[in-house]
Amino acid sequence: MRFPLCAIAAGSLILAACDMTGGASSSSNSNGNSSTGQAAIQILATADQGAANSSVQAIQNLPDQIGGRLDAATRANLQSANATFHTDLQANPTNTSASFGVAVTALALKLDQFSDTLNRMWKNGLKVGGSTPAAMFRAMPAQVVQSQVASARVLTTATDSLATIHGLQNTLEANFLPTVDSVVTLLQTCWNDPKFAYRFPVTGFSDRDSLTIGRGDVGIALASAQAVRDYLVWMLSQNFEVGVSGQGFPNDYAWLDTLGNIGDTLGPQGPYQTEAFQNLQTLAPTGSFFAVKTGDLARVQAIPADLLLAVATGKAAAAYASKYQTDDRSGLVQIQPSDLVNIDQELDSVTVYLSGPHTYVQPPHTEVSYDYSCYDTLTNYSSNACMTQTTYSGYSITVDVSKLITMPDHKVFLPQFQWNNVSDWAAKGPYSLVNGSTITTERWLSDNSPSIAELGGKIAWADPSFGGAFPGFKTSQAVLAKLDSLNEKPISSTPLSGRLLPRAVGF
Amino acid sequence: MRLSPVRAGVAFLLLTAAVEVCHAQESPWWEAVGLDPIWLGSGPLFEPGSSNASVESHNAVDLRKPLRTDPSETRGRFVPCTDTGYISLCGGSLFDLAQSSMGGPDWSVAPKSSFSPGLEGAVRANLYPLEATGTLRSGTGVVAQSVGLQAKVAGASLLAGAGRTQRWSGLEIATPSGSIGLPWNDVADSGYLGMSLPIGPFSGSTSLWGTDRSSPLDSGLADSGRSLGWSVGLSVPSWHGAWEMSLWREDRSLSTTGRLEGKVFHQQTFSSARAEARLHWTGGDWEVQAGTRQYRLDAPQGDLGEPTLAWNRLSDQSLSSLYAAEFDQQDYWSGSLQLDRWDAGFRHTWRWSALSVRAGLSAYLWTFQADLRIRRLRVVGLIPAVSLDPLASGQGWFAASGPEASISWNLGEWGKLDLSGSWSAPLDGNWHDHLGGSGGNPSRTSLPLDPWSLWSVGLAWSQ
Repeated sequence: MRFPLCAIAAGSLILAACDMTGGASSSSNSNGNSSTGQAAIQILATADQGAANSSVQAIQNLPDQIGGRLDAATRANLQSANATFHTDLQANPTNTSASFGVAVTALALKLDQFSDTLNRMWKNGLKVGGSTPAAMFRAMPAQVVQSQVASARVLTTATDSLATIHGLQNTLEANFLPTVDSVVTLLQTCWNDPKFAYRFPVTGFSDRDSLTIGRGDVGIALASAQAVRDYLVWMLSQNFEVGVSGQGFPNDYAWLDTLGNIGDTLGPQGPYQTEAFQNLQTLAPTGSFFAVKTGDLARVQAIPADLLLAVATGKAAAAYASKYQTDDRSGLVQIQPSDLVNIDQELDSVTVYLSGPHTYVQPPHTEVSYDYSCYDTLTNYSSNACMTQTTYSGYSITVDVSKLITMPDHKVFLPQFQWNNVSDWAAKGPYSLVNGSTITTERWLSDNSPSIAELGGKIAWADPSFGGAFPGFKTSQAVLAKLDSLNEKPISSTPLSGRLLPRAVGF
Repeated sequence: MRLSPVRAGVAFLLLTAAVEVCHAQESPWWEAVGLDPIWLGSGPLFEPGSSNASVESHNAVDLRKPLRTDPSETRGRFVPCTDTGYISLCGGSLFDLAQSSMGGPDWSVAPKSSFSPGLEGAVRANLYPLEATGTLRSGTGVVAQSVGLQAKVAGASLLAGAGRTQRWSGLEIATPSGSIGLPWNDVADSGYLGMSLPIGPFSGSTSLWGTDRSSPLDSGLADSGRSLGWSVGLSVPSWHGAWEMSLWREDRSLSTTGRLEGKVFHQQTFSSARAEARLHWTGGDWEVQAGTRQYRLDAPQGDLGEPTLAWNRLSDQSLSSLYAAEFDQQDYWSGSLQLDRWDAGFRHTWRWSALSVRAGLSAYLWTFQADLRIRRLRVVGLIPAVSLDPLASGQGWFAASGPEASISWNLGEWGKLDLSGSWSAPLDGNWHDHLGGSGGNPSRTSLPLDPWSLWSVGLAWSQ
């Protein structure tokens, strides 16, 4: 099952603007604007609709030529609208329409910062969506969903001077996580309101002039925001820092680049190569790298329970949408009763995996592959050669996802190994696998490229169950056998009869 | 992104250039909405069914700029007949080879080529004054049958017929997450009523036909629609030659619906019309003719919630329904397209015993008008927004001229052999883009359509 985490993340980033009002940042316990969601939400006043619309248009139409920044007129309009919404909200704290307006305009006013961050990412090689930094706004939903860059980093206030992993984590901790917390609180309030509905004007359709954001939509967004918060907490609690300064490298991370470019030319080693390997030795197996930071273990251990709440919210929201949101007059999400059964099964499976060890079974299955090149020839256009049905054997694996999430040190996945002396690197490589008295050098591994089966007896883990996350693994040999089975092998392959018949021209 | 009307029209029909990640492998829309590039570009060299064996090939509206497109088609049939006086039997094989590829600066449709062999059989019973016919054709993905009855009385004739055509086709849509193969099957029932009669020295004819098509499946792609056509013709002899006038028109309506896993991801309605008017004069060995072929396509924008393409509904994952609150995109295509061809030419025939040669010169004028657009509804993080992307709005033309020739060889008891060919080269043209420049000022460039030469060639044997 693939949970739409990135979609959830990016979607919730938009909602995160509910807290970006220019006021004091909220904390995880802040109520923020949460008290405004108790009454049925009214349609925005005409003037406010215009302001909200222009904000949305600005979001959707970031111009390439100015790098996605707002032009002066749009910025002035948004600032004026934002002030109007603030005034409305102060006059009536229960006016959730005004809350929504504040959120939308505040988000639009963040576009310059958003754009600048995208540009910095672009310059650093993190590219998404197309040929320009603003292209992700025009990318297809599927592309954005699949993009790993649509993550929490996008909206940080990190500057170039904070270009370390720890710096980025600290910035997210201080500036972004509280925002997500307040978004969760706000959406929870809206979800708790049984009358919640919000009509958003759309133009250009003769039959209708608005779409409705329903209570089910907000519930789904709430579940998404909860999942994003858990994802953020986990990411911010891990020690990913690999920067080392003061060694003569151009920057803190240049030693990684040195390592990556050594290739097979080990020894005689230059001083930077030696330094780079020594840095690597400080990370594993004894360092704190890829372990939960000191003091953060408690909040990491709370993640599974919080995810279960998110799943419960998602199920309830889906059920609500299926029952009450039958068309887009009542909500964005419409779910057929037959689909609701599948959604419940998917979400229930998340609950099962979070509740203890569970065996995932991939039964034998078939996949159809297409050979597009055969369409270029006349005689093969509709022939069997275009499509092949392959049957795979399937596999099963038992995993405790909660233990995987709450694992205090992920270096448990490293096999037993030893660092070799620098003088031996040319003959042995920088490290060797250790399994009792059997020593397997990195040089042998790179020269022979053994299969998983051929690694039997050469590789061993101190804890084959990996901290209990995979309780079915009793021995290192069992781990290897399972890894081999996960690499599914075709057990049969059959050409298909032409399912794509060409339309005869002239009949 | 600015498109030429031709590109936009093709993309509109194929649904493939909507976005870069969508690619349709098949294009049954072409036929369903009556847009036949061969008909617009050249036209058949031989009357259908007039020969026992024939091969003809056409290269029509072959453009290099602003889009690259090269539709071509080769048809062949070998259907010998036996005639016992009362009963005629015909049976044989036929094939159709069609090729086309299209592309622009930032998009392309994979080369499409189809080779469709088939079988054809016909029976005709001549029971004067009645004549009954029945036909059966079977090809790749299609079976068609028809029956007809004709009565001839005192130079007048009345013809009525009916037919059914079943098609099994498919459309493949490729997205970044994988390919989706959708069946597209339909059944078309048609009826025909025709009459011809002498009126003094004149000869007149008229006919009426209609088709009703629908898809039996409620999964994949389904269509429903109707067409209605009529024709009139008149021959007028005079002291200075014979005049023939003909006029026909066919109107079509079509609705297509796409379903995947019970979710409707596509809805679109079309209406189209095509018509031809022709005036022909024959005097001795000279012929002069002028005519026009015209095509119109209109597609109204669907109501909110009934998009041409709903992206989130193209996923077969059960959780995809939930994405609509986070990311969603619905594209609503609409607009109109008009393609006209005007032509005029003359021919002269030389005859020597069993051999006759006919040669002439023709001039053509094509005109294009388009107003095509996509209204796009996006939802990003609960915030909906609508944008309008005008694909093409403008008008253009180009002219071409070239020779045509045919040789007819009478083989006596072996029948007759005909060899025909035509070729024309582009002369001039322009395109007025209503989308260009600030303030909407139209732009003009010289011959932006850049057509290649058009040609047709064919060989037929009849007995």
